[in-house]
Amino acid sequence: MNLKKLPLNNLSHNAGRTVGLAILVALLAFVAYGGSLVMSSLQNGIGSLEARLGADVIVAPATAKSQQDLNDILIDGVPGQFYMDASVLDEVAGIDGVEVASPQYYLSTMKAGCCSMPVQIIGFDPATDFTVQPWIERTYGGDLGLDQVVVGCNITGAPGATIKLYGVECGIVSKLEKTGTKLDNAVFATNETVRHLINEAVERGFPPDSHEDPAMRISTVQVKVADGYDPEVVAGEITLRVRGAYAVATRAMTSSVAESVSGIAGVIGVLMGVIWVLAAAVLVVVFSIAGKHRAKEFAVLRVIGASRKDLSGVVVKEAVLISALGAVAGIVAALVVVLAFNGALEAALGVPFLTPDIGTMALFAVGAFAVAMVAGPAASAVSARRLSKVDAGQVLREE
Amino acid sequence: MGDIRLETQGACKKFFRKRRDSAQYFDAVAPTDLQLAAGELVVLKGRSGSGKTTLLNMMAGLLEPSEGTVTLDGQNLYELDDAALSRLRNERFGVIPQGQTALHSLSVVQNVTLPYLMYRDDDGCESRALELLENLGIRQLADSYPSELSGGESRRVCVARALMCAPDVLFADEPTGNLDDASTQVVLEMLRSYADAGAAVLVVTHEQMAEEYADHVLKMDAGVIEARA
Ligand SMILES: Nc1ncnc2c1ncn2[C@@H]1O[C@H](COP(=O)(O)OP(=O)(O)OP(=O)(O)O)[C@@H](O)[C@H]1O
Ligand SMILES: [Mg+2]
Repeated sequence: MNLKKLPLNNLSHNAGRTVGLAILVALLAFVAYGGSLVMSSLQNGIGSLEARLGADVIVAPATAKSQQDLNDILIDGVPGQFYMDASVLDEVAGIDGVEVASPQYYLSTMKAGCCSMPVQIIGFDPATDFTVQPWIERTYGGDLGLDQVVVGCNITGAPGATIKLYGVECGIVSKLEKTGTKLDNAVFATNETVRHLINEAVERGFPPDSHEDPAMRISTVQVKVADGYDPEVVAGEITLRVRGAYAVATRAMTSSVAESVSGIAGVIGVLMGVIWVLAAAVLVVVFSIAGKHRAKEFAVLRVIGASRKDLSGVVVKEAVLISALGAVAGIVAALVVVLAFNGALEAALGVPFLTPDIGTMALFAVGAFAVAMVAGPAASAVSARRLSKVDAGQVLREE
Repeated sequence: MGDIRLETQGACKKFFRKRRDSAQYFDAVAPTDLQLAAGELVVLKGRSGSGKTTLLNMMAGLLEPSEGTVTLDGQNLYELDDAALSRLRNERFGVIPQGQTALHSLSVVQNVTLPYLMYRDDDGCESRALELLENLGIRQLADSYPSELSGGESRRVCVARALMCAPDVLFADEPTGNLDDASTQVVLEMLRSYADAGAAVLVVTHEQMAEEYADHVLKMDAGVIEARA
């Protein structure tokens, strides 16, 4: 036993105190790491929502219900369907400032053999589509054939498996990465496949709630706006000129989500700050209380030849060990909580939630570790100072 | 009389004391000239509160005098910086403080070897520690922890700890408190033979028996060393 080994020995001999202090540091690390994970997941979620919506403007039928349904489908994930005449597509394409216009066909089902939850089927036109195919390409190289589907990450079934839609076994060729948006619950297919599904369903005697021919009727038109045009202006133009259609700039759709995200982020930020300050204050106090009891121990060390520097070294080293222990525990706990309750958090917050990639999570972990490793020893500084200044003669006289 | 080892010149300690209607400084230890010589054992006795521990702490490099100096072989202790004085305490002084001062997180033998290992490599010092414990009659407690010891056993651990680094000057503040007569005799004999081996030894004690082992007996009263008994 020497002064170098003494701190570890002290910690293991005072397990209760060690664990208590480590828990406080763990709380600091937990809040720092968990908070930053949640914050960045929210940021990712909103970013992903914007990216996945893809279109600058979405055109839907001009009924109040279809507006609500569109929101439900894209933001809240409730399957829905609504239709307008296919001629809208050509009219939209003719509007000034529209660079690309591509139709989508929405079909919802309660009867899919695959899942207990309702599935949203989204049919797209491979020739003009610019919103779905780019991210299908990222996970699956080729084109989608007849009765082939790409599924969102929340749909059961791996690539190579089949999914039964209206009695038709459709091959899953790819599963998309998690987006944190409601499109994670959707199934994507070409309009040709959708038409086949509808025909099969009718033949087998269980037609979908609504079964309109994708050639005649469409649900939405996805619009890419040409450079130099303002999506909001183009949307207004479409609404004005195309009968029976209502156009909305996606920026406007996501801005309401972004608003609630920033509200939530603000609350979480304040909460984090409060917990942090409290835990740090308690840590300082507990370190100091523990220090008082130890005055005699340190006086003895001084009598047998320890310098003041040695004494503060012992205190700081103990704090470093405790902080390392607590930081690792807090980071692991935060990781487990955020990953395990990912879905619950998303449901509770009601906004898109997408955890960052492993590299970013590791970076945050390093950051949280560093923060805890600074906070713990800093909290012990008061106590280190006082204990190193212990008046050995005085303390040992107080028998 | 052997070589002078440790010497105080006019060393005194003033403390601040509050009274009901006034507050003032008083001399816990009045200006004192005292010498400890190699090979000698000095007993310091006196009523409780007379300033014995205060004087001992000043001489042991633990408490800076308000005035005056403490010198070891001509070196003024309180002119050294903290690191140097600490090292000097470790290498040349052995202190048996008043009361129970074994460290609770260390076993008995670890308590005894700690001062040695603080500035030196482990060169089998444990066997020397065990030998000291053997001489003090507590060899069998080497692996116990202080909380398991009786008051007297704990005192003897501190005696062994003070002797571990073979100090030139040994300070003992009531080393035989809590000890039965037989153990008291063992400890006093040990201190005596340690002085005979060439160390300067200062023993603060109320123990009558100690005077038989002393070269000089000093008596302290209200901070003043009164007479040589
Ligand atoms: N830090 C201090 N502040 C104020 N007064 C002090 C301080 N330290 C000691 N004293 C006073 O100095 C006097 C001498 O104390 P000291 O501990 O040296 O006595 P002592 O002779 O060792 O007594 P005992 O035999 O009870 O151990 C006492 O009156 C004590 O109250
Ligand atoms: Mg005393």
